[in-house]
Amino acid sequence: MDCPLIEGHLVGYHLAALSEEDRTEVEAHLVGCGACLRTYLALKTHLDRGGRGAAAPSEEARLRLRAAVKDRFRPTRSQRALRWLRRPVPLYQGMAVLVVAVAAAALAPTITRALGREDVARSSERVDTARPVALSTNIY
Amino acid sequence: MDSDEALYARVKRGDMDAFDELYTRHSTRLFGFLRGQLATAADAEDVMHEAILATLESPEISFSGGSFRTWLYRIARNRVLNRLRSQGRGQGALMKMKAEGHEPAPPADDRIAREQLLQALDGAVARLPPTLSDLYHLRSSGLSYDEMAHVLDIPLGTIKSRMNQMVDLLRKELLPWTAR
Repeated sequence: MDCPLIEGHLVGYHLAALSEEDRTEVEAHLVGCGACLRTYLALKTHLDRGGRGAAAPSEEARLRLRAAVKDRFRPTRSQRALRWLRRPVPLYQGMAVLVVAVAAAALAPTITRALGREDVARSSERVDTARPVALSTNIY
Repeated sequence: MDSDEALYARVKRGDMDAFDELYTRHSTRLFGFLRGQLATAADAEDVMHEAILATLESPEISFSGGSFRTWLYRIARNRVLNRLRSQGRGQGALMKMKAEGHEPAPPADDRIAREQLLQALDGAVARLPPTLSDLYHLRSSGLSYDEMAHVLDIPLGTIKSRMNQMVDLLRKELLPWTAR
């Protein structure tokens, strides 16, 4: 096929609507013909943009739609709570909780022992039974 | 990567990250599809807004009968038809483009010739009959033959034959710009 015939097939090629035979011929031609390749690339860019005047929706349109979707599909309180519970926890937070738990477990016997000794010391305080009743009520 | 359908379900639960992802995937092509059929970018943005909201809000969507994208384009296409019908300019726009007719043959300079080829293509697309124009825009938006069959609700065989017809028509329309 020569250049004019190939150019005529470029739209069909882009839309993948050519026969196997035509597609092979177009591809073989594009490999060796810079002019047709440039035409094809211009055509492809143009078609991908949706043709004349099309580009992309404005940022304003995106924000307007986003706000509308957010408004319509606002999650309920229980859904929000569930999502909060299921949220991924950062590694450093998890590690901090783990360190606190291990430290508490390690220190627990020492603290318990210290408290126990204090209790024993308190219970073994000698009671002065000779003191007057008025004063002894302060003790008991 | 989540499928469109998974993102759709997440958006319905209020997940805006899922909406952002879905929007990024489809907005440009959908906008191109709509822009090709409506007179102004503002019209295309309005219809896109309506179509996406309607797709998300629709309670009866079942993905067994087509993908999210199929539903999105089906709803968008219906909205376009409604808008054109209500504005009474669907045929008017086509007739206007038809009235423009063929432009003079392009000059030999490559870059200018290429520009004119693209303009001629836009003109040729605008002159396509509605049945073929739908196909052109859907296919340009990246839909497969199966998806187009779902959107337009016609058999796959009809899609194939119309695609051949459409491509042949465009090739003939562009002949004055390619036979140099």
